[in-house]
Amino acid sequence: MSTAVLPWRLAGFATVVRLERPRETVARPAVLPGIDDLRGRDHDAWRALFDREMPAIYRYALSRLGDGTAAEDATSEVFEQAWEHAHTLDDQGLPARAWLFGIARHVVNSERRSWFRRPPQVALESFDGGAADHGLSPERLDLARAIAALEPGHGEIVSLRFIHGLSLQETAAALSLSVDAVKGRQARALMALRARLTA
Amino acid sequence: MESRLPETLVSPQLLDDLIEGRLLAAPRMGEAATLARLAADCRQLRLPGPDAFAATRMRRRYAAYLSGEHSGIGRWLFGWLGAGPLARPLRERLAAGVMIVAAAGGSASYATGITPLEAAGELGRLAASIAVNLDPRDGAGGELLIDLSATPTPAGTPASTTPAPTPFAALPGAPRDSTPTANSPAETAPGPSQDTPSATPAAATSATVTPTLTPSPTSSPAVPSPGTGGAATTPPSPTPTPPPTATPTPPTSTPTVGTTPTPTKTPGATVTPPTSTPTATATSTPARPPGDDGKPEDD
Repeated sequence: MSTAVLPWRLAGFATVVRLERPRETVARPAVLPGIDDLRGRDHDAWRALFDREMPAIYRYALSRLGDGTAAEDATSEVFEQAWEHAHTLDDQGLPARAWLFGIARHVVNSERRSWFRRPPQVALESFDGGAADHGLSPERLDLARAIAALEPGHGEIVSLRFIHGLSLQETAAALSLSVDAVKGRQARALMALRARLTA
Repeated sequence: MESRLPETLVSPQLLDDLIEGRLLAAPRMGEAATLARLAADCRQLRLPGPDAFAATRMRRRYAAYLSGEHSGIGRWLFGWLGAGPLARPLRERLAAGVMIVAAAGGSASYATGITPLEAAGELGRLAASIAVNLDPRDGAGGELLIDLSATPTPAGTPASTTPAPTPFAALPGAPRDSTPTANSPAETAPGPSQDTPSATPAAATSATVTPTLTPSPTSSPAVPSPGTGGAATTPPSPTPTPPPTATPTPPTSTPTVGTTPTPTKTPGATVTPPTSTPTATATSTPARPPGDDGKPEDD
């Protein structure tokens, strides 16, 4: 579309760029720094990863478990399991965050306090903790309730994509789905959420 | 049907472009724009992060983990037991326990050829045997007491004089085994006469035996108490050897010819003086009957 507004002299160049870009991405995905170090179990790289991703993993665990102590344990276990399975970290052109979220899903789902049922995708009590500025307005509280009432598949997509801020690719990697599947589930989840809010 | 209708109207790709800001919402994108705004509202939901203390705890724990302070087996074992940060669900722990027990039992049965059921049966029998053998009633020697009490009869002959060649035997604290007549009826007879050097058979056998004994007043006291040895010391064997020498007669014990010895002597009084025992031995040894081999009964 952008080629339509370009002058004719630049249109050919833009077309070349559009043609070259996919070839670059397919031929050689961007190698993120640190993946090799993480796979080689470099302590400094793992400490840096922990400092960078620990708050996000903690928030995810807190949103599922609703308890700060349990979220601490789960977060620590996520990084410990990640260290143990460092050799499974693949370079998919994504940051290690998606991989950590995938581990966090399993850790939270097998959490010892959930012997009889899995924890919800969004625990409403998780929004209560923290500082005063995290308090929810009535509208946001209704939104949080609607998300918590979604079916697990939809709630998980909404949580990962919009509350925890994962990209489509990261969400797909965390859920072991394709990007198109994530797009479709995302659309269905949002429509279901809207239906709940308007009901 | 109503829930499926919007799916046909909203393209997932278009919705994602709107959500990610790659497209600007147009008025004709009503449904998709609404969903995109809803997604933006969801992004406004903020979750609290870890406070400083929690972050410090997690960082310290992770540093300890990286430094290898926690061994893998120890952590796994703690988790299997239900403790520690890696606590496993109950079903996983039960499954692991069943697998461990099955593997151990299978390998043991393969190595030894004994099935776990047989091993359990053997263990039960071993426990029963231990319980029986460690029973204090058996330690007292119930059957042994009966057997020994029956023996005195033949040996109750003067050989039983067994004058305790060593002075230890007469000592109150000396072990009974030190006496040569360890199996003498005096020892086996229940009662206080155990410490005495077995003069009971002499009194029990017959009158003829009595003169053979030349014990000093101390050594002879083996007279059983009437309540204890009376029945047991009854002359079982009618073969008393006549005394070759009628030398001495016990001064006080006077194992009268009757079947029942005199109960005058108390066991405690008899044992006390150790000094007299050597004399008793010296005198008693020659007093044995000629027909006797001169050996103690045990031999």
